Amino acid sequence: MKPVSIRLQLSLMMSLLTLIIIAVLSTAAYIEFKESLLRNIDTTLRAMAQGIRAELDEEDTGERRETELRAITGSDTPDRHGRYRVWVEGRDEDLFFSDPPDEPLMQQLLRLPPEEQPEVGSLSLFNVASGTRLGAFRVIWMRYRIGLEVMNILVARSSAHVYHEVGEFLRLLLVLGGSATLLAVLLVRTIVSWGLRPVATAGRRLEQITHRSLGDEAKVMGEVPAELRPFKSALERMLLRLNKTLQQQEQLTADVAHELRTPLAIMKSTLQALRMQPRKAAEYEEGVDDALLDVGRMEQLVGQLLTLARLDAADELPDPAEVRLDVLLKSLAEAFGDPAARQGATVTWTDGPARSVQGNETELRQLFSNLIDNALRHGPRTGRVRVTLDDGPGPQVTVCVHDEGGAIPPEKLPYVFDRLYRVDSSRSQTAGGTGLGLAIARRIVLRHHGTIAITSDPQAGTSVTVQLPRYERA
Amino acid sequence: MRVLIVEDEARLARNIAKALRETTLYAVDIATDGEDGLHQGLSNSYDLIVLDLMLPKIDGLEILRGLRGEGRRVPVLILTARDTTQDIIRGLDAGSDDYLTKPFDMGEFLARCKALVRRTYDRPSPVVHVGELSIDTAGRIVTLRGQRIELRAMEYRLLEYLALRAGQVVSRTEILEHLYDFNAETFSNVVEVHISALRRKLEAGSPYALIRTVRGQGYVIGEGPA
Repeated sequence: MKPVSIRLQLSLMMSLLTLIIIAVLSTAAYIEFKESLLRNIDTTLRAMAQGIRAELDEEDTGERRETELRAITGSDTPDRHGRYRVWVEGRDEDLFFSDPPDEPLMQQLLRLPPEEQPEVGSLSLFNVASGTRLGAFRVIWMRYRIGLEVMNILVARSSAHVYHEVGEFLRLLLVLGGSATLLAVLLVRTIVSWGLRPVATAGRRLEQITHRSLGDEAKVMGEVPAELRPFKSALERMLLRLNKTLQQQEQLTADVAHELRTPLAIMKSTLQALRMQPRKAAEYEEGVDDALLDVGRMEQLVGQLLTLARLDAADELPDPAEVRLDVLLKSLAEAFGDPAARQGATVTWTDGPARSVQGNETELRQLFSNLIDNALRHGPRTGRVRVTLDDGPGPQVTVCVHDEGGAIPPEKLPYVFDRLYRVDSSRSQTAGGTGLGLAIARRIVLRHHGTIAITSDPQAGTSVTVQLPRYERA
Repeated sequence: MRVLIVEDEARLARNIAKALRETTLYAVDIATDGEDGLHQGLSNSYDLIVLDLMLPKIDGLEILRGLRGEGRRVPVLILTARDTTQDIIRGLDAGSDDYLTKPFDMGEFLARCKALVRRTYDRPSPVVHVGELSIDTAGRIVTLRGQRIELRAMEYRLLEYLALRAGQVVSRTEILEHLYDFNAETFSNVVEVHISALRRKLEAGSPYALIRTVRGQGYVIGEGPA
């Protein structure tokens, strides 16, 4: 899934928050508004009921009482909704007063089962919901005793207008809340865009980086706010590493070009010298052989470069398995022994106990043949190359390839595993080899989580020591 | 003319030597390491040194500084795989006369060698005129009064050397030093033999001697001290 932009995320978050706040506030306002309207009605009704009771307490003529009661209820007002309804009756449904007459609401209430009717001497509030046939009403029902008689005073008023007003209020709240939310979203978008400016600036600066300006890390992003500093320093470290790799790569390319150019130069000179005048067949043959020698050298170089590139491309070992190092080294010592013997050199291998490492057999074979080949080429022509396999230190096995060759100057030892490095600065190819053998060896050792080291001494000769983790049976 | 090649790639040195011997008829010595190169460069009088830069034992630029430090005026052509502008500037600034990068074209290399030798003898023109004789050093063609003269290799070498130094007395030792490489077998009167052969071919039917012998000193071609 595509990641959502920070701006959108923040906007959504802010609008949700705004929405929740507005909803809570609106609900509170809505409830409060409605309740206060109903409370107003109730207060009036209660006062009216008290007034009616006081009026009934006075000894008055029936006609005069009715006039008084009418004055209290204000039933002359023409407003149908605002009109108060009154029902006063004594015991045995002895109706004293009703306005309007035969109010169905009152009759319905009075027909309620006794347990739902208010207790004598108390005052109850009834809310008739708006869904009923009669409409929404607030009713105060007062029951009290005068002597033996139970008086019922019911005062009611329609509450429909309350619901109407509350509905209007709700619509207003929705409009206001919606607008506020929308405004919040827009505001947040603007603020976030403003806040993210440094990111955009950094992005533009990054775009201007080319491989030429990589090393100039001060220019990479310039000053950034505190929040971006970890990001900036990580980026700069990465660019620095990238730059180093790039420089190494450039150096390697230059070295490879040089390595290829030398055999190319020889081959070209051979062929051009051959073409300068007519020659005997034997001379041409010699020239072709010469050229083939150079082709072979270039082929070897290109092959080893490809090997290195393949090793570089994948960090994972292909098909790791248990490899019997003693068997591998013995077969290599035998394979190298015969050609070496022809020039008077020897390769010795001392049989020892079985030792295994976890690794890729093809790569390990390449590793040790590079080392033996190197030892044969750099040791004396009739020298002895000794291959040994030992335990330790710790959970490791140690392979040592030793030759009686001349000392490598101590200051050059750290570089012998570098690509295309040659101890002799002339890069002379008289000793053969491409200058990649030890680099390949090191790469293979590192892939096997091992170490490789070299020591050199005019008396003791040169030793390359490889340590690999011993094979652990799972 | 005699050239020293200082080059550790033995086969490349051999190819260059072959081309120089066959085409320009120069005598060629080869040194395969820096130490040998500097030693030979200092002890023999060469007309040109072809110098590789990355050499065992002593670096090419060190050899160049060693030669110039000893006041040797021999022209030096650097022939190397180092091809950056900085390398070329460093090479020329160290006292070399020319710089050629590997891989190179053999024809171009030979032409540069000939040009360097011409400059050493202060002869900008590839055609040298001595009286009625003209020698085209680029094409190795000798004509006398418009008539082409066929010369053997050694005879041409001798004539070219004398002609480039026309008017000067050239000693027998100088001739031996400049025309024979280190391994050449020379016999006591080899110079006299070739001089008389040249005279036979060049002075036939002419009333005066083109090559004169200055007793006790050597030979002179063209106008010069009697």
